[in-house]
Amino acid sequence: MSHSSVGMLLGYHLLWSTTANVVGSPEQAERYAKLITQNNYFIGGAVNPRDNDLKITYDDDKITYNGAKHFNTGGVVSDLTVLEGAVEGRPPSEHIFAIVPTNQAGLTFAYNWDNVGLRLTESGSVKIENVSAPWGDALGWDVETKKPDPAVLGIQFGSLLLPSIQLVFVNFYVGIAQGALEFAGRYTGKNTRAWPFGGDVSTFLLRIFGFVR
Amino acid sequence: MATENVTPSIHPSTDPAVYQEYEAKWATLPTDEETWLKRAQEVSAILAEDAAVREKANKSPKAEIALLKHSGLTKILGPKKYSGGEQPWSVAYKAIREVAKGDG
Repeated sequence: MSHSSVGMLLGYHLLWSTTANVVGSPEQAERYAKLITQNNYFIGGAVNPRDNDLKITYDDDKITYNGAKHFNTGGVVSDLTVLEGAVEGRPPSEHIFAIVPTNQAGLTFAYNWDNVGLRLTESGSVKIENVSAPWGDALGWDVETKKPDPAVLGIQFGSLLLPSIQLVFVNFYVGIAQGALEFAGRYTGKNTRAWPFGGDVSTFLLRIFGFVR
Repeated sequence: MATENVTPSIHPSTDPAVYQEYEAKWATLPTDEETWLKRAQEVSAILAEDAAVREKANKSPKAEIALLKHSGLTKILGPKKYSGGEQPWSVAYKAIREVAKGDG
C-alpha cells in the first residue's frame, strides 16, 4: 500500500539540505554542507509562494523574520528550518533565504495537518515570531553592503531551486503510481477472479497491468 | 487542509525506537547508484509493511525520519569528506521514487 508521505519528506529534505549550494555563497554552501551532513540533520522549510511573504526587518548584526505559513512540510520533525522572506523597505523581489534551528521559541507549529493523502508529511501551519539569523547566514547576501551579492543572486543559477523541487514532486508522484500498480497487480493475482477472461488470471493481469506477479 | 488558527498543542508522534535496529544494520553507507537504490528499496519495504496503519494514526513521523537518517538517504547528496554519499541528483531522484513506492 502506498500512501505517499515519506518519499515526499525525503525529497523536500534533500532539496532544503542543498539550498545553500544554489542560493548561497561558496562559503555558505560549504558551511551548511558540513553542518547538515556531519550531523545528519533533517531539514524542513517554511517556504511556499501561496502565502504572503514573511517580513524581514534588520539591524547591523542580524535579520529577523515574522509572519506565518499555512504549509510547512516536515517542519515539525526537522532539526533545521529554511525560511524565506521579503526585506522591509527593499524591492519586493529581493528575498532572503536563511536556515535556522527548528527548536526555538519563535517557531510555533499548529499540528493541524489532517489531510486526505500525504497525511504523514506534517505539512501544517507554522507561525514565525522574531526568528533571527546573523547577516552571515543570509544566503547569497553581502554582509558588508547588506545587499544581494551579484555574483550569487545576480545570475540565473538561483532559479534552479524551483525546477529542482518540481523534479522532486515528479519523482515521488511516479513512485506512488508505480507502487500502486505493483500493489494492485499483486492483489489482483492473489485475491480476485478474472471474470472477463473466463478465469484465466494470467491473461487478465497481462491485459490490465501488462505484467504477471 | 491546514486551517487558519495557529495554536500550539501537544501532538502524538511515532516512536523512533521501532526502527532502532537499522542504525547498526546500515552503519556503512552505500557507495554507488546500485547499492543506494537497493538501500532505498529496503527502506520502502520496511515502510510498506504498516503504511496503512500509520496513515490512519496520523502521528508526527518521528520514527520515519529516524529510519531515513539510519539509512543514510538523508545525506545521499552530502560531500564524502563530511561522511555523505556524494551522489548526483539523478540518483537521489531515483531513491525518492523507490521510497515513494512503499510510502510515497
